[in-house]
Amino acid sequence: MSTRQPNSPEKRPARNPPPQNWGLVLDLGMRLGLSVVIGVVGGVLLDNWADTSPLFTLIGVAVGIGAAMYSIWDVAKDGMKPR
Amino acid sequence: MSDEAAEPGQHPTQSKPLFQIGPVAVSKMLAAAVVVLAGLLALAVWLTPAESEEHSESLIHVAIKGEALFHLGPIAVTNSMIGTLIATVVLASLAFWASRNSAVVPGRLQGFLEFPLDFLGGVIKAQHPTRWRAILPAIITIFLLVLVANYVGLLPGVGTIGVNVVEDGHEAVAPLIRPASADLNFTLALALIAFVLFVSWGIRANGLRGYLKETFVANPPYMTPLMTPIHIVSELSRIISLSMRLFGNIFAGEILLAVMLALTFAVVPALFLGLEAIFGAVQALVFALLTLTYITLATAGHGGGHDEPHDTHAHDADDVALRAAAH
Repeated sequence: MSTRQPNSPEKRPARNPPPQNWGLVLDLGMRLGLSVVIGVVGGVLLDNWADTSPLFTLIGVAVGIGAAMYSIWDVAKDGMKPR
Repeated sequence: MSDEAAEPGQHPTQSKPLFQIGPVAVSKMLAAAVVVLAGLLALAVWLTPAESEEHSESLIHVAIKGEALFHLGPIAVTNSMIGTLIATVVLASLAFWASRNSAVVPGRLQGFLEFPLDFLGGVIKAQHPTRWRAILPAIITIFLLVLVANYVGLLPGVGTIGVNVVEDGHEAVAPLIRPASADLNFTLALALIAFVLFVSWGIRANGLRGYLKETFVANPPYMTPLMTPIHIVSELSRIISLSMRLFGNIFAGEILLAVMLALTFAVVPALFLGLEAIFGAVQALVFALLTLTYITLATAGHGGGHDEPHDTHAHDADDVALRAAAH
């Protein structure tokens, strides 16, 4: 009689990444950079308009970095759910 | 088979395989391919006529925006619009042909046309077992349009046949046809359509109130003033990322082909044409799959990103419907 453990490696289903993950990985790197760029450009434009340099540029940098981190979380949270 | 086991009347060497494909043989073949390619490149560069340096200035034509060929009232018709028109006509003709000549047992062309539908249909069905029928047409349309628009750039004459246009007061030669994806207007418009698509799917799945709450109200609520700008920048980055990636890849490919045509000749530009054919398909697939992924993320709020799978009979019914959609 076989006494194989239910979670032994050979019993686990193969975890092949679905095709849509290819694009997701390509996209994530680009969005990290773009989020910071959008934040900085938005901040510079606001500063030029309101003549408050460098207040909004610094806020834009912080928001851009936050958005970049959020992009990772947005993608990763789905994969972190217990299966 | 060994030599000893060969037939009596047979030459002993006939039983030996001509070559064996093992790891060493593969590495040798790769090394030989690299040497041959390097040799071809060197030969092409060496044989290139000296005056091509003077010609290269006129051969390499780089314009970031589409050039206006003529005006229809207030609308400037650009060369990228001609490229989009060609892609649309090709797709419409293929759809017309497929709808008239579809058979239960597909022929070569029908099978070729059904391949993306089968592949993307399977991916969408795996992600959205209950909604795939509604999502499939949009994703397939985006994929096929981007694919054909990318491949328009590989047609002979595209980018090389020029017409005289007046630009900023002086005459210039502009290409008659430009691939649509090499114009940021096209890719940005497509990204905006994808954005509307996944936002509308988010609203459909979670309701307007649920979607707005998901997007603009943070958990815990006192983090909302911090998280709302982050959400907005994150959403904007999706549109720009989608459009800039496609534009950058196809535009860079066009420049690469123009430079290779100007600097080299014979087989070298053909090699890069082959590479561009691969990149064109990959970029179309990436655009379509990312739109699908964004739809999945947008619908994940309350209803769950991945639909619950159906029972076997429902899957069978879906398969039948997928085949029917293909026909």
